[in-house]
Amino acid sequence: MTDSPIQCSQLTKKFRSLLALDRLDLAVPEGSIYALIGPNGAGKTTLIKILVNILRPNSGTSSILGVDSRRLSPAEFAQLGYVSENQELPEWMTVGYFLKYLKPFYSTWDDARAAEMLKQFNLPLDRKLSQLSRGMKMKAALLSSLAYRPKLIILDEPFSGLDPLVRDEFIEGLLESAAGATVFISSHDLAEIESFSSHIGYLDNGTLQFSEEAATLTARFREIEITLSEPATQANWPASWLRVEISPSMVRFVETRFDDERTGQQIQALFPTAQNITIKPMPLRDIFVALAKSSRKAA
Amino acid sequence: MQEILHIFSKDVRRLAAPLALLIALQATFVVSEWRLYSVHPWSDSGSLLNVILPFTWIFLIAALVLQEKLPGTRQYWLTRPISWYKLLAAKLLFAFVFVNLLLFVSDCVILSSLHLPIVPVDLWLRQIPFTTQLFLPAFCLAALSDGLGQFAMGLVVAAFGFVIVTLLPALIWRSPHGGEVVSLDVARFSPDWLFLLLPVLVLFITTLQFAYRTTALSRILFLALILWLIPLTFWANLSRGFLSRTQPEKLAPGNELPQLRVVPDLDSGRHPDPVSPDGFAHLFLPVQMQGLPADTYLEGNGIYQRRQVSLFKDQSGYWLRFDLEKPPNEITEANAKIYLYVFHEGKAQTIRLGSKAIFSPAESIHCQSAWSSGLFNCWAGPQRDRREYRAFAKFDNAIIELNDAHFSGIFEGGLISGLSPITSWKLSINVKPQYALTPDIPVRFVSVERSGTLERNFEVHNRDLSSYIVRP
Repeated sequence: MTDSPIQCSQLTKKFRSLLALDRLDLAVPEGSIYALIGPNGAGKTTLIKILVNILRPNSGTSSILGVDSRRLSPAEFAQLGYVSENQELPEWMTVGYFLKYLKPFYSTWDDARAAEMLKQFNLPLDRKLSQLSRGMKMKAALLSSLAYRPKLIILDEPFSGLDPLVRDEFIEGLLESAAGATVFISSHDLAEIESFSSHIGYLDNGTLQFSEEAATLTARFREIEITLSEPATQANWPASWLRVEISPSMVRFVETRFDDERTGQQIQALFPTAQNITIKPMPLRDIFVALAKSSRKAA
Repeated sequence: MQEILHIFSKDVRRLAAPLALLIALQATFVVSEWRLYSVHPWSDSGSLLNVILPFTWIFLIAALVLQEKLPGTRQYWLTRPISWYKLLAAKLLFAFVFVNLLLFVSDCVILSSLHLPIVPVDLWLRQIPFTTQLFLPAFCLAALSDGLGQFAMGLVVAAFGFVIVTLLPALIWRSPHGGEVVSLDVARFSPDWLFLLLPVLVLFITTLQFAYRTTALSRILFLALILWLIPLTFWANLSRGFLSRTQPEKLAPGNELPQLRVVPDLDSGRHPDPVSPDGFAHLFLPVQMQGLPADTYLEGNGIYQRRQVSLFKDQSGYWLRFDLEKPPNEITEANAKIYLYVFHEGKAQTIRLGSKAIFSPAESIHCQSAWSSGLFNCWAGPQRDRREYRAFAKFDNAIIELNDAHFSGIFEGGLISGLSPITSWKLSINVKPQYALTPDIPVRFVSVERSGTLERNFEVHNRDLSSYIVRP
């Protein structure tokens, strides 16, 4: 294992006949904000639960902070912040007692930081967790996972069911506290993720389709629309083109390896009668949809 | 240790309400036991709390373990720096303090309020059976459950298994003496190793579950343990005599007592001492035992015309006792069928006061005496029918028989009645001071040598038996 805070090698997990993860290799750079995206059932939560030793893989290895996930000890958990959308919190505790209870387990617990986040999140100390709204509960969970300034923060679908205001507060709190830490986040909220993630991985059917820097990813995906003077007849499109739609006067597709010069030459070669070419950068959401739909079609 | 106490105090805070209920029930139990035994010192506690309290303990333990439930993948504490062994230690500490220690304290309160001596070792030993056979399995079951509902269901299944173990053999087993099968006593007949096996394996599964949370594997092991224990218990008990027996209806081979005769001794002038009224009239007939070998002890009882008849001995000789529901006016013809047990004195063993308990392998009896309290305690292993043995402490000029009451030891009475704290004082006999100063006490264990039936007609014509009848 290298210095990468999260690393997986040939990680495989089966639930009876269902293959949830298929020989997955992954390395998350230190200090990055790594967003793991993928459709429902892609294996994101399974991967995270294996990483934090809640589930055991069938084969392969994974490590966190340089330690095999299966051998994580309190020393590693003291440097790990983990928040999940469906985490079961001790609902009978008040927010104040929850924090008080957790504090002795962390030598790096920062009271000042906790107080600051309490104020920022506007969390009532004397309210039981069971009496909090979903958004407030997630904030309490995040606070309890950041107050000791963990080196690695793992968030599993943290934005699910949060209203936009709470989501903004959540992200704001996360980014302020996570300075210097590595953040690994799985989410469907692609618009939010795009705004702050440095790296993106796309998981589908248990396989990591790609894993790269966000800037590189958005740079290589383009939505291209070509207006034709004559109907197109070409059927063998380049492999890097997804979701090719053809009408008598138009071709529309997603280029996954966009390069100004090379893509231009390909279009010229395939559509010599092209009248107008429109090339649009794609937001992460559209990239995700294009990938998911083409994957479903292929399946 | 700080983390253990931290988790412990969290659990106390969380379970404050059930704890308050438990302490209130325990206090009620202490008061009721004190009131009962201060009036009827030899009574058996029949309080409903004897049943309620164990269930309260079990569900408290379940609620305790389920605070950090182990099955599942969503619990917040799974990704917190909490060592599994510290978590387990905190839970065990809680169970010890609020079950075992609380019980010990309430035992002490009861004993001291009755002005009975307190022997801490005995009181702790008394807790071994239900700690190992009840609490630890309940702790393990809770560690495998994902909620109180599932735990309760597990309890029902376990109870069903227990019923199979305990009742089914009664349908297929008959005493080698030919006696009818009347009851089951797994606790008495199962060998020690069987009782050790359960807690050892249960602790292993619990530790495995806490350390690795391999719930599926742990559940399979637990189920396998139960399924394995059922036939094992069958085998162990059937091979030793599973059930308590009634009096044998016919003689077992070699158990004939041809030389033994019981004859009336009405002319001896003996008359019964008054006995405490119990609602019945009792006819006490003095009898002579003829043909009884030397150094033997005889016990007998039987049934005659649906009336209980018993044979017992006091300092003046043997008595035949009839329990009469109402004083009869008609001529009484006593055709007593007495079941006899002849005990022969065994090899003497020496107990050194204050030393560790000695163990008599032949009889599976432990005895210990303590300098501090002057008490002499014996308790039987679970594998023998207590009617098959007696023990005597033989001193320089006196013999103290350790009778049934003194054997109602830590394995006696099964799980539930074993929870009654007052039973501990039945374990003890007071040794007179001059003997307490004696460093060594020879003890003779006796085992049943022969048993069988004896039929004898007692014809009592033109006799006034009123002086032999004790009326309530």
